[in-house]
Amino acid sequence: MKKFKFLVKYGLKKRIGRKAFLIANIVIAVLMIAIINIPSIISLFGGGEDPNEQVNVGIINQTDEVDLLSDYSALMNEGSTGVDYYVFRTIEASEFDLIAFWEDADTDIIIEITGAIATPSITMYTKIPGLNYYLLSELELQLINYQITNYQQPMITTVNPPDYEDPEREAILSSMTSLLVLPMFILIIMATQFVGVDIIEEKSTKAIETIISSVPSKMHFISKITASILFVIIQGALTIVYVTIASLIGKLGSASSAVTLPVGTTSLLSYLTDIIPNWPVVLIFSLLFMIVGTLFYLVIAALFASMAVTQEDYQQFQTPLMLMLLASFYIGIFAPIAGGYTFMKVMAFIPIFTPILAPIAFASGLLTIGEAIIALIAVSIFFVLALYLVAPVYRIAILSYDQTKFVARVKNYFKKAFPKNAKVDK
Amino acid sequence: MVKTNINENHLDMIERRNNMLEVKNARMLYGDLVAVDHLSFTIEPGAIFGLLGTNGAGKTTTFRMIMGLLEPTEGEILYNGEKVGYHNVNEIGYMIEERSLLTKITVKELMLYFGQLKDMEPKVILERLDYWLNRFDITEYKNKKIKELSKGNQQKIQFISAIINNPKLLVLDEPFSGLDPINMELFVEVIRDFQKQGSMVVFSSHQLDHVESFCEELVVLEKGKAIIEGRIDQVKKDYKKQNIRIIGDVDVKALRKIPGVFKVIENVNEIIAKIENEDVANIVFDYIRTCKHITKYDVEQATLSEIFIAKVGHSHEEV
Repeated sequence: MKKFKFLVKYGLKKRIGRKAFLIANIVIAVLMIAIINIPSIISLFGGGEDPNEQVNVGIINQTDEVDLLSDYSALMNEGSTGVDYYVFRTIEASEFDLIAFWEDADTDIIIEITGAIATPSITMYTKIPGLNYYLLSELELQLINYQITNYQQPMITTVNPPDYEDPEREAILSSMTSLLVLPMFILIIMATQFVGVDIIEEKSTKAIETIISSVPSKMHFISKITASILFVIIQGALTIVYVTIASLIGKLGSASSAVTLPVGTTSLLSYLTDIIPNWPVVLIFSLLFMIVGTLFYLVIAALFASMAVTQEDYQQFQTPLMLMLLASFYIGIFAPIAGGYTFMKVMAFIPIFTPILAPIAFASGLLTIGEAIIALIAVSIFFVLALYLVAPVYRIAILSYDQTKFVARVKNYFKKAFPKNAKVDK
Repeated sequence: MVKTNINENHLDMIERRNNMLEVKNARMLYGDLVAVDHLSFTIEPGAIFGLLGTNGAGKTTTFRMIMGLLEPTEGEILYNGEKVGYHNVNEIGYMIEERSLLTKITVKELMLYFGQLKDMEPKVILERLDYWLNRFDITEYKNKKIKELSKGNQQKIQFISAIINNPKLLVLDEPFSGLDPINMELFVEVIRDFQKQGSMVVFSSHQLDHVESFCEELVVLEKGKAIIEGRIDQVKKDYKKQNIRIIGDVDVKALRKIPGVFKVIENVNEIIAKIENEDVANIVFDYIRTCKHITKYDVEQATLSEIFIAKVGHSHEEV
């Protein structure tokens, strides 16, 4: 146990006590701050929503309040200087054609108000569903302003375009992609690189012979994985700290008059907090997925490193692993954009993709908590199986300098690790 | 009384068993290839044992079996009466044939790493490191990275890493390869010191003539089989063939015609006559007495190299 602790401590110190760690953390912190505050940054450079772009609103007023349109327009454009942002016009009920409205580029929103002013029914036909909440709450405020004595909450119906896809969902997935995929991808890549490079460095210099003569290969193998996963946890915790700092910077930025953020957006994190109320559960699951998933990748990386003889060998062997990770990364990035929700959901259950895809799928509501638990169990079983299979092969491969072709080498090591007539080793 | 003697003998045998390395009928197969074939030898405390052989003879495999890195297919290897395992590995020092050093770290960091893997305290490691660096006259390299050191100095560092734990069993695979004569002597001195303090030393080497100057017992392996084994003096005695070194005016043709002289080598300063056995030496001596200006007549036992070449050649012929 003393030697195991020493090996873990040594491995961890080797990673954390280096300049590379400091530089990597500076880069990650800057990256996190930049990603999380993209809306602010875009606004700083004059990007984002065009403040001069007008919203055309048609009103079908079937109530007895004749000034409703002008009053509502005044309220909505309060604070506008010069040109009105919301341009209102009256539409007669008899003129209204819904099919023509969806095809008509001139009008963005039509609000139909029927019944008595005290108990109105409101139907909102909208091509900009993002404005629904704001427009309706302002309309209600206007109705309250009339100080109607027996005023009752109106019946509200919103009608979106037939081909409408919830942009909020896309926003969530896109945000998840930025917030979860990138740090997870970076962390898993770093951890697998570290474990592989560590092992191959000891093997290629033959120092492994001296090491394995002092500690069992299994202890060496597990110590490498433990040191790397501890590194991931430390780095993950630091990343959360950077995210928090980035969020605080975002809030400070939004409070500053110099920065004009899009309506209702302070920072990406605060936006996510609004749309993912169960974020603590999401965070815990994401961490669990990341830890178990990284452990799985570490076991495979350690196996490849033990089978390699030189650094070049290892770079070649680890290519499939890196491709798998890259595939996860790209699925995580592009599946939400391409609307491949079902595809992403299915992939989230495949253990090699689970570590990166499952947290996004869960956070965006594609996976239920039950499904997330199933995915977690699946990747955990996969990890235990990998550990069970890899440990004996590692014991054989780590002291072998076989330079035959990869497939032949793998076959040979497995054959030796699991002989037909197994003999108990020390 | 007799019973007491038996008990004493038994206790003595147990005591001896508890302080020795025993390789018992060890056999190692790599698929169909026999790497080591029923090898047996024993090393007692204070003994220096040589494991010799050509490349691929099975020396490294034997060392790996001794270190417990490989499990013999057959037979067993016992250290102090029990199998070598991670419970007793802390008192063993192991130096592999090739450089086995982490080149990106400093000498001090490397020793702390390897030493702590032997359960040593960092303070003790650093004290011993200072002593050995001083002994090998390389104190200035303590904080240098291994990759910055010359090949010879890396060899010294590797040797120090094998002895830093003050081992009771020292396993050295080709410790002298690449060393100049001065450093070779330095290594031999240190090995002798370990011998004096009762450690068991087993080493391999290609430099056979150097081996016989400080090694008492040996095994010569060829294709995994022991073709020569035992105490060096006995091996030489058993070999029978001898060399006579002569300086003087000698008729080489006449010398070659003497029965029992199977080869005559003419060097610049001397003539070497190789004879079948010591009886032939008398006949040669009778002839030499008839020659003029004889300043040297020296009968020597055959060198280990000669025995090795002769045995390996014989072994090859058998195959």
